[in-house]
Amino acid sequence: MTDVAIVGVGESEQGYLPFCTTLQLQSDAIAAALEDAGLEPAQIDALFCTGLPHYSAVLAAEYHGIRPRYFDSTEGGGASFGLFVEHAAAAITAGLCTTALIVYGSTQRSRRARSLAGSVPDEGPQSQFELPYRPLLPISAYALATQRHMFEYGTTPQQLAEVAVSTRRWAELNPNAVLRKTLTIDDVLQSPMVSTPIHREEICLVTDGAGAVIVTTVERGRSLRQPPIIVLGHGAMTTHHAISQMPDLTRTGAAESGSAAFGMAGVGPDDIDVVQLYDSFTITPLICLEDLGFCPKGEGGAFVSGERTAPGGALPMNTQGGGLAYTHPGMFGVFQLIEATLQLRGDLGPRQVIGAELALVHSVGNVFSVHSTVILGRGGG
Amino acid sequence: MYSFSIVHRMIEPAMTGTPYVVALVDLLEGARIMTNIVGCPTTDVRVAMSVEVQFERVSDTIAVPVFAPSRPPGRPEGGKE
Repeated sequence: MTDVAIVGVGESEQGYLPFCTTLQLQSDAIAAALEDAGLEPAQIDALFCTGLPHYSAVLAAEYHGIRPRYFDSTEGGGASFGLFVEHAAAAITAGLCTTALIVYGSTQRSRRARSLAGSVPDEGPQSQFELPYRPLLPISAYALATQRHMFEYGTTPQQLAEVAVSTRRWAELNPNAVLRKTLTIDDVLQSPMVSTPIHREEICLVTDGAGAVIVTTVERGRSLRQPPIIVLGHGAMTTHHAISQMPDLTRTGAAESGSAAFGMAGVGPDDIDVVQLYDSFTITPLICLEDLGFCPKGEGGAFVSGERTAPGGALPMNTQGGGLAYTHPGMFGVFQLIEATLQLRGDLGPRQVIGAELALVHSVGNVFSVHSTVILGRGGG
Repeated sequence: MYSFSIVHRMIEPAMTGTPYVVALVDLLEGARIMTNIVGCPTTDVRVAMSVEVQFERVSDTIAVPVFAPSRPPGRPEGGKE
């Protein structure tokens, strides 16, 4: 594979933005990413986009005035963006493109587009075999996994709440985070129960916002404005679509995507300085920590205890405040890549992880269905 | 009972019926399916409890399989009631 790097990142404003369309927010993020990299729109020859209602990459190309010769609308939910990095690396290596723009945006907060029933296509087994039983989607699906993890491994509500508390401590350091008020374990456990054992404070935000990432060869990146942040490894896996078809509710495809990424990068969990682990719910990063090998299976609850993942803890996780407190416009993966890149550049102010050399981004789509892992490193030298 | 969740929030404000139990059950025949648990207080539901099927008729042509706690041993199975 050709060595590729993230050379530009950008975001729109995040939160409640009722006077913007999704494409306008994408535009803001793209402009910021191009400016960050020191590139012109005409230099983009590949476009990766998902989450628009129809023809995501094609519509985005039209609106943003880009003429990509390689484009990809892969639908992997929140995990799409790690998949896009992987696909971009492969396409650049194959000579199909040189400079890839990955973009995502949503206005689901101001459109009130998020239903507790989820959005399940009329066709397909899920609508026939799950919807009659009225699960909240995706909340009840993650609740089923949480309950099973508690049953098999004795994971406690307090341990799950630790994830939300540590993440909020990071958000307190991020002036752009939507939720910045201090959160305690008691606050989490006393928040309303939504779908047992998941409380309201264990559920990610619903926001408006957009993010963009630019990927090109390391060689080309060295002549651009920012130091290239090298893509050292990546991996992907899907194990099911509907939660009733997940082979084991406490073991996810993160095991396979993570092992592929670590193998390619030639590093292991102990080498990683900062992690961005998808936090749609508190159970999500807890299980992925196990499957990625940061702790043994079943010990995720003990691992996250004592604010281990909070500022000053042994494993800085979700350092912008995560989907739980920073932003979550339906899919969060692009923001995870952005934060990992900024951490490795090393100039993030109060939330900077000092001396961070290696970052891991793990994203999850749908109901633990899609997994992508990306390992990034500072160029060195 | 492989796992379950007690749903406390309505999907739509006009809907009624919470709390109700969404569950995944493993059939003796090998499949795992989503279902609702009926016939007991939601607080009595436990992972690994034994449950058995009932058919809840929702129209003249449709019956939905739901599950209730297994009857205690000794009671006749399949009795006409």
